[in-house]
Amino acid sequence: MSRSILSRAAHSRVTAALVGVLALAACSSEKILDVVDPDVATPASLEATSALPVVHAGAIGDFQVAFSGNTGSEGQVNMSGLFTDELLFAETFPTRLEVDKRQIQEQNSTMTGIMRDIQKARGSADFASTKFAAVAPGDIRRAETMNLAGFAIVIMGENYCSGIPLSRLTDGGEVVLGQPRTTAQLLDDAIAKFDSAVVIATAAGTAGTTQLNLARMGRGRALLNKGDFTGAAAAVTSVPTSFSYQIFSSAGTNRQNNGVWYWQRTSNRWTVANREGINGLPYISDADPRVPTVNANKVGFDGATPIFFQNKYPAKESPTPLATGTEARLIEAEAALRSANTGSFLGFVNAARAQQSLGAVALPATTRDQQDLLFKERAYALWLTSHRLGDMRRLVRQYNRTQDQVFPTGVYPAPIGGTYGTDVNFIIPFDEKNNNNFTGCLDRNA
Amino acid sequence: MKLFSLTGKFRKLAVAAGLALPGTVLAQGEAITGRVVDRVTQQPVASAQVQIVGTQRGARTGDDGRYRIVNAPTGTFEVRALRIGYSFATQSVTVGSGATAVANFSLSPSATSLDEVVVSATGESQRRRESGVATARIDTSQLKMANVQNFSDVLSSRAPGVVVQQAGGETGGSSRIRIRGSNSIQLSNDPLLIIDGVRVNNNPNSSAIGTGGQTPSRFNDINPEDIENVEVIKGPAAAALYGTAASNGVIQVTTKRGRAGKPRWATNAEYGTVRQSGVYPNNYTQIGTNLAGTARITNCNLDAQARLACLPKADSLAFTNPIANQSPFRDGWRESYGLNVSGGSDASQYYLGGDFEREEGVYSVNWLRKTNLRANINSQPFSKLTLAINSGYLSSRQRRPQNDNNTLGAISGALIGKAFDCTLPRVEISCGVDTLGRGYRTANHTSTRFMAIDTRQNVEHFIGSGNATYQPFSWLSAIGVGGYDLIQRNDDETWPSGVIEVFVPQGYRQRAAAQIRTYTGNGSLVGTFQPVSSVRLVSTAGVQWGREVFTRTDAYGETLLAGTGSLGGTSTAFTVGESNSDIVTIGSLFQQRLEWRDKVFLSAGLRADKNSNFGVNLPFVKYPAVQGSWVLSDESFFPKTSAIRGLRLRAAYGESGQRPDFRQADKFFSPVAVSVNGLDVSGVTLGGAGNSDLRPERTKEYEFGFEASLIGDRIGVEFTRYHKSTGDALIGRRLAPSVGATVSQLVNLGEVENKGYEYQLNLRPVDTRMFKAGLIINGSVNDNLVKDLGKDALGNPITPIIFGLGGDTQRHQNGYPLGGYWARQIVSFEDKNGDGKISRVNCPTYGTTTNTQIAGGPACEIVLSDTAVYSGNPLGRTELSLTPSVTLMKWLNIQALFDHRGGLTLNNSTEYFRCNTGPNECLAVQSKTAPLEDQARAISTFMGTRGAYFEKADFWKLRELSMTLSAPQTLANSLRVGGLSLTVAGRNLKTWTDYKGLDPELNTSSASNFNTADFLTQPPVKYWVTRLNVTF
Repeated sequence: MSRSILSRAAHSRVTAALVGVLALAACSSEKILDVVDPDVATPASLEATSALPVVHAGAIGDFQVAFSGNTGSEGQVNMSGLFTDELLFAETFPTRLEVDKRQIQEQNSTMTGIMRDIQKARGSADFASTKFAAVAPGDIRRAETMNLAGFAIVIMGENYCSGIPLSRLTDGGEVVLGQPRTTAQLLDDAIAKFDSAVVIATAAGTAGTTQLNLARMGRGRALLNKGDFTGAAAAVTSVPTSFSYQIFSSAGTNRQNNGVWYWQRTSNRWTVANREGINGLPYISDADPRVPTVNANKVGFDGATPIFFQNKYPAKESPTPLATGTEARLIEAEAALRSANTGSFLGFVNAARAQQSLGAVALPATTRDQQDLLFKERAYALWLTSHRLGDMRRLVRQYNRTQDQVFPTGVYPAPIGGTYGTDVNFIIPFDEKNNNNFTGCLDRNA
Repeated sequence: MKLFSLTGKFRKLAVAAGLALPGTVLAQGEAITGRVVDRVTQQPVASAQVQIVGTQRGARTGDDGRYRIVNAPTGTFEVRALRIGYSFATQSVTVGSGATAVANFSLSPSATSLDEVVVSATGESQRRRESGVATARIDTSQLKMANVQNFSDVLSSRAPGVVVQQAGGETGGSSRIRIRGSNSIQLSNDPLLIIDGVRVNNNPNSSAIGTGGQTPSRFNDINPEDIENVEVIKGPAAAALYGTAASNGVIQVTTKRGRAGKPRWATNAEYGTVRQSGVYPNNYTQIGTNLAGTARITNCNLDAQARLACLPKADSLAFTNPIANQSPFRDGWRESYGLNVSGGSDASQYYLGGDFEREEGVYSVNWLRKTNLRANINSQPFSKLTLAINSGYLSSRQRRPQNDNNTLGAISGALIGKAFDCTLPRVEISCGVDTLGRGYRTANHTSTRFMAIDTRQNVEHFIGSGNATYQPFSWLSAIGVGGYDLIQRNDDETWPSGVIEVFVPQGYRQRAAAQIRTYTGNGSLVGTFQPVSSVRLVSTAGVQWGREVFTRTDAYGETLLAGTGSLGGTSTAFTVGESNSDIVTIGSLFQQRLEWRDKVFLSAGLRADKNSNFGVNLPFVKYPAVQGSWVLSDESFFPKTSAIRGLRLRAAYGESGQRPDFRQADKFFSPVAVSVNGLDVSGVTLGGAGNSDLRPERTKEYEFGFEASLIGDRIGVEFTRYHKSTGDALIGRRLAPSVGATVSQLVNLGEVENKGYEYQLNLRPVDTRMFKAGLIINGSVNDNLVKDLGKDALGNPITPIIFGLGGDTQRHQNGYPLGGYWARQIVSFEDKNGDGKISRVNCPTYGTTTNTQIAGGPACEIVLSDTAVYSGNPLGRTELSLTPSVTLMKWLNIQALFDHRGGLTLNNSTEYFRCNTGPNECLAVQSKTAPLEDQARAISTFMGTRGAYFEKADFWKLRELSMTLSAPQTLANSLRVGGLSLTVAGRNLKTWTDYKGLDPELNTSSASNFNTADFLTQPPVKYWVTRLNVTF
């Protein structure tokens, strides 16, 4: 049954009910919607002085991911090793095959990831540095974050083509897009960070010694890449040969595992290479103690390639050297060689070898052989530390060699087959085109 | 016989508390009772709805066609009987004080029905003619005659516009369900699931542990045996009042209810076979020598030959088939048993049911056991109050195999394995140390080892709801709904020590315990007013509250003590983790409907929502809706001919939304452990870039259409045209890597369009007592398009979003379907030198991929497009199903379901990978006996593209075939049962397609929003089951 008309009383009741229902929805909505998120930290919670340790640690952690890699990210050490003659592909993933074959596509998702990681390491270090600047500008940990930012930039300058922008995300979430930087500009950016770190570390006195030496090493490495051999040697000359700054890994979490150990030891993705692509060094057959390897007596992930494990990082917690006094001596050796002071050259080389308990070597007869000795010493001493690609590029750029005299070349090993490509650096990933200042690499040459 | 008797207040309290016992009669107020039969056959019509017109009061018929409306008001009423497949019937009924009125109905079969009842967002029952939209209703009475294993099967091909993409053949695996296409680039495109009025978790990717591709789905927690009714509300035009959750449509399930009367028992038993259906290709390799002929080599493939890297040896194409050598498969089987009882008094009715299901898949390590219990109680403690308590419980135990994109999978191990059976007496030298592999990929990794990893999911799922309808006046109803959906999910994996030599040979154990809670609270008032006799006004106002809570704790440890399978047996690499989310939605709604002479219906509504996931700067979001429906055939001017017996026109417009996911609006830092100077300490890393202005996606939809009943109700036609536009679409605007932040930042930028049409033809050419023949045709066309990906911070168009298997096979790009395939394609190929081989020698560089240049060598024989081009839609454009059925002598029913998808493309990444990678096992790259077209496809992969393996995947499938024998009533009586039927039914019986892979529906990312590829995925299995249904 229906009512033909609505009584006044009924109207009132309905109206009151409707108003009540709607009022219920509107009242205290913010309180109802207030939820707790215990899993993460908000930007505001990182403003206090008490947050500086976690911000500092965060910068180190992001650098470790980008540099050494971990169980989820290959890292610059692995990828530069694969690109050069240090490691040989032994698996199935096409994106990493492109790296080993020196034919990297612009949209290679693996390479996009590791580019993000190294830029994030820089951004994270810069973020931490600004937090220190606000409340503890003279804290030595600020110098460390500056050094890490500087090394991230140097590694990009060494491994990538020219034209990398340095953009940033503000605390307010605004994206500030950078302009493409030439490799030289990039190295200057890094040097500026190292110089700032030197100021803080010097002011810190004894407590700043490690960061001071690290900054000197960064400055020297950057200048070496710029071709300022004398300046590079001057930068590192006071760094003791025994100096070592390590990027630590840990068995604690997957994110902290050493990425070189993980990608090779747990899933046999690549093997140590031996004379890869005509020009490669005999990392296995030389049996040099600086390049420890072990025959795994198994085949790789591809089910075909025999695997030799690297044994420089034998465990998931093995640390990765970022800068060492050995490298300082080799920088000085190179400067001496460039100035034709072969006596000093050999002295520095042998000082570096002595630091690693190796006997002295004799001076080769020709300049080219001396160069070869220098770069072989660097290759072995700095093996799997993301130095080799920068060195190979320098051999082309600073020593007038051609890419097919330096990089792996010719027929690519079975079972993949085909031929090596001609890349001499990592291409900047396609994703960077989301930065409208960027149109592509400025220069793909070495 | 009464067991006991209560009186007065105690009786009412007892009834309200649901304490009524089966068979007892606790109240004998006014009632309407009767029987509904088929006019032609005089057989009882089950599941017909009988309702007092103008009220929410009604009942549903049982299998015997009988119904009873209890607590009927006194007076004279119109009572209406409705059933899908029949024309409705109405009669006037007078109920005296304390009396029971009788109203029997005889319904005429009809190909279309305007009067079946659907449930609205406010819980109000509504006749179809009153709605301006096309709400699909799945006739669940047919399900017991079909081969339906899970809820995805229930939905598959039974409602136009609803596309269920079966991904593979894993027992317990999920399917992708889409209604009217995909709306969202970033967020879920899965429809909202509502059971008995409350929201229920339906995550199709419900697992913390990956096995390579397939995942369990909470959609399939719904027991088909419990379902009384399924309604599919297809889009915002219909679902606006569901608010910020309904832009992908709503699937509304009503579970079975009890009916007044003596206990009615029903039982069923099912047993059948589960068989794998794939035909797996051989692995090939061409034996050859180096150019000097001094060294034997394998994989001297066509490309290597052309590049002069080797010389093939004549008659030395080696091949083997690991699956044929050592099959990982078995003949699986399934069984299920169910028992339910329903009955009750005028004051309360109950439905109690229980089912056990067990399926043993085609691998020994793939099985599923489910136990379902359901208890639904309806009660009318007072004449003005109706209560319903519904509860369902599922206990599920599932073991999952390694498969798909996983080298430890059996199929992957075989398809990208070796061309040699390494155990043959003449051991192939390239087998190396492998003497047991039988051609499987990993040395000495026999197929039995694929079964060593023990991955399981155990789920306890409880869904409870309470529904109260209070009708203080005949013109006013208050409806309250409360619900609680609780999922306790435990995923665990045991990797035994010393069994598998790769990855973690020392073994590990991981475990993830999750609790997923979904709360619902709704309240609404429905007022019905009739200012003049020809006009009826229905006003609705309500509020809704919902909360979704997720918590999960993870633990992991390595070096598993042999013989143990617990975290307690591990001794290294301990890791723990925890993740939590909490999402709250509040909304209010108002709707006004105007009805004119029961043939013109107009309504307008508005919903306002706020959600804890919105950006902090956002106020309430409002979603309007308007609808109109005109039953033209009820007009006096409409010609009364049998050619067109019924015609309704309808149109609707509505808006709905979808909230951002948890934490997407917030900039946040995730805690991480960091080793600083060798000590593990706490650190943070940027976790999300955040966006404080983040809004919900807003989908606007209009639709219009008609239903017509033609040729004396023998042909029912339904047609709907729709157009959906999703604005403010959340785009994960990819940040340039140089920003040094996250991969992307969510912003409301994009616009996605879905437009198309749906149709249904219901043909009943023959409908006699002795023989019935029918055909139902369901179909739809959906054109999905990215209208705009928006602009970046500088105002420049956002570049296409590139993703997919391999990293760049799919795109969201302006002007093309979401997730379309993109790659360089073969422009032409020709065997120019007539050597029977397609070669890329002397072809130009494409992208960064160089091709071998040989001076004086052959000319380039294959040409690719200069850039990536659009190469097809992995979600398809059309779907069509045909359901023919015949019934002989009322006791034999034969029914089939043919299923078609069109405009479908699938990335045959399995064959791509076989040709391009590792030992290159595919015939097309190893032998010139392969057709030139296949060779060109294979060679093109070495030129840096996968495009040639984006294959047309249109198909027809014989999805279901069933035969049901129903015992004549005399036989049933002689056996002392109420009814008896026997069904033999098959599923996935036959496929017709040009797709060259194992199956055109495969998807290694079964639950992914868009990622679609056939990659080493197990094809759907074939079922044959026999089912016995008995009622007492």
